[in-house]
Amino acid sequence: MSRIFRTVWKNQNCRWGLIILLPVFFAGLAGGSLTPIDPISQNLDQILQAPSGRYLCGTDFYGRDLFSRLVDGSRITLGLSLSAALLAVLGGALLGLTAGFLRGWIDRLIMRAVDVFMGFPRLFAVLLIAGFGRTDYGATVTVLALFSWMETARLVRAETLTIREALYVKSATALGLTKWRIARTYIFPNLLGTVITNLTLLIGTLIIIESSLSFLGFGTQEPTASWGAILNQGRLDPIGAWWIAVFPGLLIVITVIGFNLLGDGLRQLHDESKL
Amino acid sequence: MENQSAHPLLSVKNLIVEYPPHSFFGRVKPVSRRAVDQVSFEVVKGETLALVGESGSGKTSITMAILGFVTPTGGKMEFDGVELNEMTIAKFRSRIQPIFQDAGAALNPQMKIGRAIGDGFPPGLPADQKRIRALELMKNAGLAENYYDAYPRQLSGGQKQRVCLARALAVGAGMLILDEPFSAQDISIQVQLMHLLRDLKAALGLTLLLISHDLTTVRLLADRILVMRAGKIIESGTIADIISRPQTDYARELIRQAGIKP
Repeated sequence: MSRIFRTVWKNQNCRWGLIILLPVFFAGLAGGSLTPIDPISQNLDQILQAPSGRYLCGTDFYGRDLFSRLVDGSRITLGLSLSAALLAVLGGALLGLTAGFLRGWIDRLIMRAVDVFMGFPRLFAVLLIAGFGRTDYGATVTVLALFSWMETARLVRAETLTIREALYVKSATALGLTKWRIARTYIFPNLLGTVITNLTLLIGTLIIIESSLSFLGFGTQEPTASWGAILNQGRLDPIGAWWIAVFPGLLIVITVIGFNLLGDGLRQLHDESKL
Repeated sequence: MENQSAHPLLSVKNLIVEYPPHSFFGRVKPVSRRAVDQVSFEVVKGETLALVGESGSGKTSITMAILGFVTPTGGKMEFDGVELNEMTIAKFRSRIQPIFQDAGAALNPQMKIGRAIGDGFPPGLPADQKRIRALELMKNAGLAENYYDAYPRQLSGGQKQRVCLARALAVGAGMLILDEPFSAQDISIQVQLMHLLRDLKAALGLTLLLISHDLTTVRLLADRILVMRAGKIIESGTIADIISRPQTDYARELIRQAGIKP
């Protein structure tokens, strides 16, 4: 385990990605228990306080500490986007691998499903379902994953089509290995680079989508904090209370950059067979 | 043409391999390309038969048809008296093994050498037994033990070809189809690999079908030669026959290119 961590740390992209993401993950895991001030307790004497030593990121319209709310919100934002991205990428990779490796009617069926799902703009599809009143955690994760697996499936299928013609797959076939074993030990490990990159990129995209949902009022509901919901409050007075929009916005951008850096680094390491 | 005195291990009769016409934005080539045209030969157990010819003469298409990677358009192939087709090919996987020209491409880049060789063993063999037997095969193939945990990219071209040989032997194959196995190596490695192959053949009683464009390597290993051109066998005989009494201009040209003096 420590060998893997050392290898990952030596890669510059991974290192910067982790430097950015580790505090965010730590905040996500610890949540509200880490913060000195309760993220949902209102203090109407302290509304719209600018950032200071006491309130690191200022306070909002209800006098709640913004820093505490951002830390607490990372649990929701990261949790939602990570679970949805994992679900979507695992499902997409499995379907892409099946389509590319088995070909025939199963390939046609999966690819037509990809076409159908790609026809829906993701954000609007999620908004439509949220509009029916399902805004709980499980439903949001499912809907996000349901409209996010197609890119992975397409990429993995294309890559599988190339790999299945590779000489090492022919050699494995000549060894008499079963199709399932060839898919599992010869094709899938060579797809991992694509899958990892896709996962990290998708987490970034889903953080933005989750934030957009909350921003539009369909995601996390008050008083629960999420980065998008906090950003939403910022639009009420973007100049006077600039900190309400700037801090969650910055956090979203930096976290997305962190995931992209980590994804790039992991792909590099995988391509060099160091992982 | 065939050695009729012994029971053939592999028999190929009137084999035809065609590649279908392809279209490019509606422009279809009217006829399919015939890569192998009514080719017949037999390989007797324990012998080394060489298929010699320039690129595009149909040698690799024959290999792919025998291995079941290409479906022949016509003809019949038998292995040990049983017809080779889509239904039966799986049964013979463990008895016929290919060694390809590009050994690097024939090894999974994400799989360590020990595991790649271990994949040749029958399923259900305990892990410690797999390791012992893989190390033994690596030793026989002239590979140091420390490559067991190496990835293919950490090995040289010649070493990768040795891994492929070890893997083919792990399956327990009695027949190897060697498709230009030496041409990607430099001359000293070629000689080493040829000696290794000759020793393994003698020790294990292997049957070899050697595919090559180079008569120099072929004459050190082969018992008989078939000369191929444009999908057809145009000449056949023992190595001495072909070199001393070539019947066609094409065979004479191959001998001249190899720098062999009759």
